[in-house]
Amino acid sequence: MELKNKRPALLILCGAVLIVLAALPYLFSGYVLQVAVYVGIYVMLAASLNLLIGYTGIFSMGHVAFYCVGAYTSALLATKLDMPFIICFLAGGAAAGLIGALVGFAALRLNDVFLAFTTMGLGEVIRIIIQNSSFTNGALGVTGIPMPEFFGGTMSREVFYYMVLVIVFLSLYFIYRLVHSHTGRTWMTIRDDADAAASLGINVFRYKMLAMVLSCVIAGLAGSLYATFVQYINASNFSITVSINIIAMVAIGGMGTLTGPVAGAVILQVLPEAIRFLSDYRQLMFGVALVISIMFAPKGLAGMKWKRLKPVRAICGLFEAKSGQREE
Amino acid sequence: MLYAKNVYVRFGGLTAVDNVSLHIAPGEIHAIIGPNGAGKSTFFNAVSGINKPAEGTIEFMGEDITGLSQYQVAQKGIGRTFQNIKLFPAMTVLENVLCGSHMNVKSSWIQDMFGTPSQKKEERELRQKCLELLERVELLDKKDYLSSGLPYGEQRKLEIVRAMATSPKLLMLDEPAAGMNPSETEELKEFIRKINSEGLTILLIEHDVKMVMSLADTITVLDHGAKIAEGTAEEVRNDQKVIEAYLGKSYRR
Repeated sequence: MELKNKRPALLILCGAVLIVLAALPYLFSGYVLQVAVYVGIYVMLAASLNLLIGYTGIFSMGHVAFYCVGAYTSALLATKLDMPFIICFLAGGAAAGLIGALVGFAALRLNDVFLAFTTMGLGEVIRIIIQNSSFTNGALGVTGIPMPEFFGGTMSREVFYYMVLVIVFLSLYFIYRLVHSHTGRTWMTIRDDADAAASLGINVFRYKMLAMVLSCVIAGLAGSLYATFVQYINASNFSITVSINIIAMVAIGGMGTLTGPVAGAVILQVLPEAIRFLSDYRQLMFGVALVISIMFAPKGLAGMKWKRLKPVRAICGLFEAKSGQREE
Repeated sequence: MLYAKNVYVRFGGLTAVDNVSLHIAPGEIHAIIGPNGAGKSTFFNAVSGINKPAEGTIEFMGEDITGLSQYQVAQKGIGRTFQNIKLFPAMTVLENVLCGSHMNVKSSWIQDMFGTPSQKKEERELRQKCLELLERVELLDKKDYLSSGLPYGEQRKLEIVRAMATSPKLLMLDEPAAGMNPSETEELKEFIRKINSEGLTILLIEHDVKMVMSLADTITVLDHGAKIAEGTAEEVRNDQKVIEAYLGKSYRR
């Protein structure tokens, strides 16, 4: 069909990206690999938050809480009960999904700014509970989280990187499938006009809950990866600034697009490393980047005019939900 | 088909709908008219689940639907459009219609996520059905237009078509001719007549009295929340109370 003439450009680009990603551990030292794993984790966070903000129109400001719940669940299971990684990983996602369902049950009856503040507040509450509970080691955090077992030995950081890569691609694939199906279109109807959606027999609350739980599960899985990779977590790693960073990634990349959050996460995760020499001014540069993107690309990078460039359009167009953003 | 019995809707001390009873027979075009503030839209919203009636019952196809939420009412087979058009502006014409048919989709989100063969098949059939619907209403050549890019009259039409995609038994139109010029109104009238002749029962609220008189089989007139007359166009036109409500007492014959 119409996709066919886009195939060669797409194949070449995807191939190139895949080769670079696959060769990364052989090309660079541990530091770059570490940044790459963080990028992967943040791609999951941004893509999952985008399900809420970009596709369903739920402006959640408490996304970090579910990341935190996933990280702690996984870390505690691994250190206190010596569970294998796969169980910690899945339990991290499940716990985050469960907490997400509880938060959603209370917060999703609200809209707009009320929802934003409620989720922000509930997110902080979750973090403070974790920070002050003796069960979670309080302010000391959880130390000595083991790397996963791998063929009898401990998994190397290189193998962990590949695992993260696979998980990121799987999450993106599932999100892609969902937003290109009736579920995703239903989410977008709620984003565009909840009353009209209800008049078409759509149970708005149920679909909002579905988006919330799925999004939280992905955030929880990302949290589990994070805890396992850094091997030490502390509640102060999960402050509100992380939520805001994730929102910035979605906003700068482009809400309601598939490529946007990925681009946003890569840029905002790599940029601070690249401008490390600016030390104290890094937060300022973040702010400047956000303001510039709002001024010149209010629809995010994925919605920018340079999408008119043919190769760029060919690549983006293929991944994006048809009903997401587009240029008029 | 639809029986409303002694329906009251109150907002605080104000009784917006005051003891209205209504019966819509299958296959007819039933219109509700009345001066501004007569409670037409409130009654409409009470049927479609936006306002809950304070008293009275609403029955649809023998089932009590009083107090159900909007989506439940829609699932019972009552489609509706809005006074101020509520399309999904970022979606194409086809996608808008597809969303109308989502209510009847059987695939779950899990099937959607994995893209199972049955899900793909259903999605294909859904698209096919919606394309056929668009062809029937002569919007097929615009299927890939952004819905917000359509001319006003066609946006109205699309909203009706989207409601038709839920395969309703009763279609409720809230002031479909509002803001239309005479030729657009004429087209709309023909369109409503056409879908009615294909077997869809229609309830409409309309300000355009001329259009209602030539279109509706039965007309109910509301004033100050209460029903003051009901009957065919001819009966309503000669009703003293209706003349009073619209033109004032001095025009009484």
